[in-house]
Amino acid sequence: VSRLFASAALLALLGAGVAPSLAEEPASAPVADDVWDAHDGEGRWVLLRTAPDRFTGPLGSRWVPYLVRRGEWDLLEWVVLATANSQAIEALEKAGRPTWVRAAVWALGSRESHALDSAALRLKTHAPLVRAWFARHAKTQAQLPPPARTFAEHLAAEGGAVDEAGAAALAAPYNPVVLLAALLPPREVVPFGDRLRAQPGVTYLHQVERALDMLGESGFVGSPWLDHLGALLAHPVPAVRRAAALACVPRRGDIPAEALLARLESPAESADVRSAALLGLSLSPDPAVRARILVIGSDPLHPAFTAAVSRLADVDDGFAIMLWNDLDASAAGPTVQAFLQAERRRLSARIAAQKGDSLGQRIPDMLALAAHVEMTAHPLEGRLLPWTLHTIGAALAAPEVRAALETLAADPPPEERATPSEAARAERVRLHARALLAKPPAPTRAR
Amino acid sequence: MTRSGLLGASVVAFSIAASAAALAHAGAGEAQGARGEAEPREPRVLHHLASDFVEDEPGARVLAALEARVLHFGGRTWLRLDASPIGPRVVAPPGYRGVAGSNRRTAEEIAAALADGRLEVRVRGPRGTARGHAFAGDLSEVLERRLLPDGRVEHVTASFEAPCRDVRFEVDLGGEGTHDVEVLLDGRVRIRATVRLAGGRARIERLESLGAHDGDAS
Repeated sequence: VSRLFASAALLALLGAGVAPSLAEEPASAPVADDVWDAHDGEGRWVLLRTAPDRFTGPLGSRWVPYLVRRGEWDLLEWVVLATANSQAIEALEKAGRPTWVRAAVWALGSRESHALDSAALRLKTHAPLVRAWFARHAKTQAQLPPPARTFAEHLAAEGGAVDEAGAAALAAPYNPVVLLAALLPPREVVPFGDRLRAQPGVTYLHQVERALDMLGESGFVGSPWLDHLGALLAHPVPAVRRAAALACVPRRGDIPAEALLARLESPAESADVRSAALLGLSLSPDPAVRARILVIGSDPLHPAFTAAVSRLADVDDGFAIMLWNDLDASAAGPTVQAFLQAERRRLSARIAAQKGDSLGQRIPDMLALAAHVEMTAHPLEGRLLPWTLHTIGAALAAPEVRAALETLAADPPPEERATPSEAARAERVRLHARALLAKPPAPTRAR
Repeated sequence: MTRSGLLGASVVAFSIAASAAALAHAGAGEAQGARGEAEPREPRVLHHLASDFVEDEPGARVLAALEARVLHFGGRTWLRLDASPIGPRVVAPPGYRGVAGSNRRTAEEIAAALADGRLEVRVRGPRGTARGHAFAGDLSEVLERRLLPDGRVEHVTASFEAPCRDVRFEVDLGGEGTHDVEVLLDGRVRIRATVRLAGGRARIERLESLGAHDGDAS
């Protein structure tokens, strides 16, 4: 949160993060008025959702002015909630909409730093108003997403003027249970298709996806949201399961891992849902999950092979390069083979550009993975363990690497809580770290 | 890939990556003497330095890459600074569509800043202050991940309304001495480079972004 405030201060200094003026009417509307008029609110949302670039970038500068011109304030609010779009926040504020503060506060939970910083700046610019708004709704503050609560605490701690009259005219915070009700859909969920208007009593796929997008921008973590995601992953409609799995990607470790693994490992599951589940798991810090993705990434005939390869090229520490050097993917066809080669090059380039500080940050996860395969007699043990120890050992001259190892080599604090398997793995990591530190550093780093 | 880059959009600072690896990667960009040699037919790279543009927080993500070169041709010496949303250290935006090595949001910010004329570059040296130019550089192909109905993942070039490009800054350095080059966004300094020209040689001594409290232009 201190970063939020620092960022807001810097943005204020820089004058950055504020979207181009909305007064500039776009050269062309993103949709014909008669087409727009033929749709109801849900239909218009689907038009927005299916626009080539959705809400961001140059197209965003066309859609947001169009929504302003058409007075589509509810849609603009949805755009903020589902995308944290800074232009939409600005539009609501400039139009004096009573919803602008609650929408901007929601955007504080965005994982996209550009959006988050811009929202923070806009709120800080109206600190007396926002401070009063938080105070006015203190009783329901527990319903706010965690980043918003923390922001409110810092704003209150700063002290200063309050605009109570202005805050009284603003809309109340969202009730997330109501706002995100589509995270608990009925068993029947259908695509909106090319219809113009929603039918009463019908739940559409885009409504679930919108709620997932809103959850992603909120900053809500843990229960009950993980339970909702887990339930969506077991929904009878594959498109719902796929959407839920993909929504897990930016949540890193805050995911329903067991439900995702169930989808990934089910032979009866559709291939795209299995791949979506792998993507959803791909930032998990769990060594068992990471080892499983490496195995799938070395099996060209697995339905999620390209998903694994794609994400390993994003996040792997370099071991996959060795796996892929020996891998014959010809059985999967020339397209997959070419994809594998391209991803091997991309991963190689990323690892080659890595610096000592990057490796230092990765060492805890690298050693945890190595310890996992070692302790579970994993099929990768014979290659991954020596590769890990060699890679780290070759970088011992880097101060960041030694610092990371020294932290891992230290005795655990007595109050540390861990399951027996976690404790055993931590002990194995500790032994490896101590052994590595006992080695003389190589004169130059070789990776 | 030889490009590195700048500009993100959020609030950020620049962590400099003038690593030995980057310099080695630059290859021909190392300093070279110019005296006594016939003028080549194209600009000669006197020095090269690569850098990251990162979020202003510990463990920050690299949002873009920067590459600075001191060039010499026809008796003129200038600094060229390329900023790109593409680079092996650039992280993707959150979400499953993002592919490491390119950042769509950075690309959009660069495009918007260029289109709106919000970027400028200037140099302060022994001969005073002068302005340079900011313009569109190479075309960039920002990749995005797509999950096909058959379960395959493929990477496709993100579509933009306008071509997505790097941004390039160029500014004349004039004569020998120390030259401080500043890139400004919306009138505020976002990148600072210090170039030293002496004895026909050049060295980029510093290439950095500004911290959270030192971005005031003066």
